[in-house]
Amino acid sequence: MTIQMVAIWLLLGIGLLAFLFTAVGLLASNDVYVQIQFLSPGAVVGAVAICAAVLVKEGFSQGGMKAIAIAVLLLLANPVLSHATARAARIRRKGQWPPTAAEAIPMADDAQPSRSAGEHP
Amino acid sequence: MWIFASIVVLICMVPCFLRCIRGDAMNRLVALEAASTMAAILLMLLAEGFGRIPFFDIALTLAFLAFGGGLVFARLLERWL
Repeated sequence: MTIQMVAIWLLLGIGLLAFLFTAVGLLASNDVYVQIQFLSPGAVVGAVAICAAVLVKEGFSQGGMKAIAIAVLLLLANPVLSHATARAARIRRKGQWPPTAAEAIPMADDAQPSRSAGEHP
Repeated sequence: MWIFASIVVLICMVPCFLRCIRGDAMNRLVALEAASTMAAILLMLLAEGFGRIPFFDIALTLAFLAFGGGLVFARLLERWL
């Protein structure tokens, strides 16, 4: 077994483990926000590792370049899709994307008690 | 080796299908996004396994279209469904 084959098996193993982790996470959780978190290992680690395995096999040929393109596309698409999905889930639950009045975080100036002008040095 | 990996990825898609069958609309959307990522990788692995390197284009096209489809579905599910 050459070093190339060892690297391919290692990268494939990492990628497949990441996909298994994503699959188990999807089944294990019912909350949509937790499920969105579980999307990332498969789309980032899994896709990049498997595309890297293909790149090791093919080299920088036509197939290797396409594997790089697929990896980059999946790598860039996952955060955007995660944000869009989380935004959709929040709007469905709360009715709006900005924080509601109950969720508003008080500003630092509002949290301090008001002082009269005579207390200032 | 590549065919074995594609079988494992195919098995990983089973929970996505189960989640698409059971669950509310947002759970189904998340499962669809996971399944589309796995399908793109699956097509790439099959193309490599069968020695059809030009078929990588199918995986690339699926990855690109799944991105747009996921965005449109998310936008639709915000208010209109």
